[in-house]
Amino acid sequence: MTIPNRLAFAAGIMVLLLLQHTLRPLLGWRIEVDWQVIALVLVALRSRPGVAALLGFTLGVITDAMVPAAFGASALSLTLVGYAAARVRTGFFGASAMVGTVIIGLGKYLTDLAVVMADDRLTGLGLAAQVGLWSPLSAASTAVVGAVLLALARPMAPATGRR
Amino acid sequence: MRGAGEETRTDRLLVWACVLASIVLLSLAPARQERAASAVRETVVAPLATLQVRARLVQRAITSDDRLTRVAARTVRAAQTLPAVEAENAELRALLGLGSALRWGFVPAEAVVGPAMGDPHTVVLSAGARQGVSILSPVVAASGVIGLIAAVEEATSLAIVWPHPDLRVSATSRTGVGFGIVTVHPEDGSDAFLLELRGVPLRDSLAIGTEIVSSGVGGVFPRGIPIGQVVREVVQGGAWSRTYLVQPAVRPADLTAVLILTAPRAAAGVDSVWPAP
Repeated sequence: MTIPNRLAFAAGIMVLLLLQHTLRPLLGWRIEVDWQVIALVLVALRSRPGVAALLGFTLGVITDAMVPAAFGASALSLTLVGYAAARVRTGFFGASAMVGTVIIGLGKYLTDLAVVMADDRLTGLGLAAQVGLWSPLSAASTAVVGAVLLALARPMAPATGRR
Repeated sequence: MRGAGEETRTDRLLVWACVLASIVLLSLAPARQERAASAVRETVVAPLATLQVRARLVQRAITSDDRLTRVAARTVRAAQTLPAVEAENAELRALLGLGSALRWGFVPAEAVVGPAMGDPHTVVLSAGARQGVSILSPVVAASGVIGLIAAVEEATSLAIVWPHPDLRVSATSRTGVGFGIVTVHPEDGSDAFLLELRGVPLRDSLAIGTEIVSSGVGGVFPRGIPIGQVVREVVQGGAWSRTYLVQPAVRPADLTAVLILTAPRAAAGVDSVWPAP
């Protein structure tokens, strides 16, 4: 893995995190791409489980601070998403783009679910629409964008399993 | 050599520490959660919050442009529908006029992070302590009460808006009949966004359509800010007071720009700002 490739990968991750706080509020759509989950999984697929969990926790706390629905819910879910992404690829499947895509989609959905469940103000039809419609659609769109970015990131990604 | 995905003792410790920290944050009391969130917003997240403010402003500019284009198209297409154009103008004038009617003691603000998934009754506003915003400042629009400032940071503030369960406003009719407290109507379905005027004495009866305004009791909301209109009375067997369903004057779902009243302005009153319709 060359240094320019590592730098390009790091820059790509920074761009994704910036998109989370610029493009997402700019569009303001109900069905939103979660750039943060994509960045987390991209890094986690190439990191140690502890580092991936710590990164997930940090990103989660930042999200919780910006949208104070249930402080700690995003931190918990993104910790688990980061850890799962780092563990699953070596434990069962290997680092395939398909696994990454599934983790991104599931991660986005579980993060939404955690926030909705931790903050019990959304009830009835609103809750059903969020859990059954908006969150799955957001998760699907995030997974699609994530699949594209996983394919793009593959050539420049830092090598795994070497030290 | 150990693979990047293989788990060591350090990894396990880190994961458990993060999970435990998350659970601790989740189990904090709401006030402590807000203090922790506020500390993060004021330090680590401050540049990101600024980015979001700018992104929101750009979005507003684009949306406004679209709106203007639509208004222009409508005007050209149907010059004969002058009343509709006049009504729209009146609405815009109302928005612009509120600031000039208030004259002093208010802070204009944008909804930076709008009603969010999971918490549709809380918004982050783009004005904070630096602009003179303080906790319990009333948040209003041209149509009336929107909410209340629950937490203040240096450059932003957090507002709870209708129908947040913690938001309560002492209210009465425009003519001063039927004092009570307006709060959330705890129902799902089509009534979910209605409010309740509770505790109205049995001797005071309010007709459907009666305008409800803030009564000024309690000192948070000055007297005379519209809250909504009576839809119907809620029949409660054996109750010693009346409860009315109220259609809120403002829909926080459409919330973009608001005015925050400062404490001196709230204390001075706003009697002539929202005249009777």
